[in-house]
Amino acid sequence: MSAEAENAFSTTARLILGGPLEGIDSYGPWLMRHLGQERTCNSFFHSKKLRLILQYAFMEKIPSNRILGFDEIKEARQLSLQPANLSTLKGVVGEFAKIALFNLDMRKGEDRNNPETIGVEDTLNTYKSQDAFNSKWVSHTSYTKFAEYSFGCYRLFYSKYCINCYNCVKCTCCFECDSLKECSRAYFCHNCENVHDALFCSNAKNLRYAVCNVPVGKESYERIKAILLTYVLTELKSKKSLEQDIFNIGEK
Amino acid sequence: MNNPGASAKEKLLLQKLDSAFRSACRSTIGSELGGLEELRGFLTSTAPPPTARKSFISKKEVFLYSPQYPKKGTFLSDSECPLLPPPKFSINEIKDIDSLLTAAKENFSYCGDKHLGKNFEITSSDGIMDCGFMHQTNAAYNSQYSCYSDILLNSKYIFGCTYSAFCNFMVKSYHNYLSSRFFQSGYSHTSSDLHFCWRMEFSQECLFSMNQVNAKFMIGNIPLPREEYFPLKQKLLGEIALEIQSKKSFPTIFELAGGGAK
Repeated sequence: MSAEAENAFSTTARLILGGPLEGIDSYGPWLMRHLGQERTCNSFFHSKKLRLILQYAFMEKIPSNRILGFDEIKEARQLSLQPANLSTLKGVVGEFAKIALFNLDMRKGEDRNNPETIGVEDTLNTYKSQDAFNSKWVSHTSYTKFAEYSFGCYRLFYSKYCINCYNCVKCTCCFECDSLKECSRAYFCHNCENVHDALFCSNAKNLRYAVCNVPVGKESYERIKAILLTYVLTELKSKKSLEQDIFNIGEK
Repeated sequence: MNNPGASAKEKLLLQKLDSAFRSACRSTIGSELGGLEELRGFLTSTAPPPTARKSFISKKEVFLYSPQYPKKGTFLSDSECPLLPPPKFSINEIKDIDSLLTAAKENFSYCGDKHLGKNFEITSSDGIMDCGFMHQTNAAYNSQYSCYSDILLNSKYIFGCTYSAFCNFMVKSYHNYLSSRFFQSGYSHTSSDLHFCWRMEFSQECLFSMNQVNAKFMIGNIPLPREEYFPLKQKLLGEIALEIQSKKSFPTIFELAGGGAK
């Protein structure tokens, strides 16, 4: 990954967690923890290694020996059925496997510097992501639209500076969050709307400086946030992973 | 449609969605295939099983958009959030990370059937924002009239689909963008009237075709004259519709390619 991209990850970590994180690949498993399973297969014509994130259930139904790389689409385009078989359904279906080759790398508009990313539209500077649209400086993400400086996220729209956030819209500087709308500086929050400067809030609206859904005031909030971020940063730097995430923080 | 446990409101919604589904089939395939409930198995054959947990308040099922949620935890539905007990939390008890994580675990609850923003007539669906008329649909934003689908963005009349962005009238289709009237097609954009197609761009009126750009009146990757295409399309789609009407199923595009069930 380029130095600029590493810098983007480190900058985002500094903004959200209070300290930089170096070497994004070493955080790969942690960032991908709640994204789809990674699969590697060989492309149909040239047996090139292809990396997929099986984010959606239907992707597991695609025969793994019938997947095309992006550079093989033109070859696949030349294949066709026998004209004599077109007049009956039995004829078409019987021969369909001959041309049924699946590419999962949709590219549209401009794309620049997106190594190991499949599925882009008007997107630049991404890495190891899938379906990055109108996004920049995202890595290890699946399905982002108008997202910037975001890592380990799934279905992130109109958001920036997020790490491990899922199903969030219009969020800024959030960490380990799920199902948020118009929130900022939220950590381990779930199903919140218009919540800002919040820790461990769930099913809440219109809160600021809140911990466990209780407004605590700025001073107390900053004290408790410092406890959390010190722990998170220490764990991430030493273990490249964090035991707690938004999907197990409330596990009993 | 015949679920005895369904509320009156849900039954009314399902009637509307059934009507919308029949309309989508007429637009897409040229004829109705049957009702939503009787074709449920067909429409959900490539979808993950729904994830549900029991609400700790009403003991009713709440639906979740992802299986990532813990098996054991405090769950409730969106409508029950006002009934949550006040948090048991004292700021003075938070001294270190252990006490903070303990307080978090005690007070944290997960919500199913989440509806954020403005929504109307949504049942058994999670992760919904600014949508209307949905049943068993997850992760949808600004969309209407959908059933047995997930991951929708600005789309309408979507049935048995995964990932439709800016699409209308899609039946059992996957990962499509800016398109209309698809049946069993995927990974295509800026196209219309595709059936059993994949990776098509800027294309219209194609059957059983793959990996084409600017294609029109194509079957099996063979371009046909318009006057030859439409009668063949009607014949082939007619046979497919008859099979679905009688057997309530038809092989998926993946099964036709030699894949499918694993």
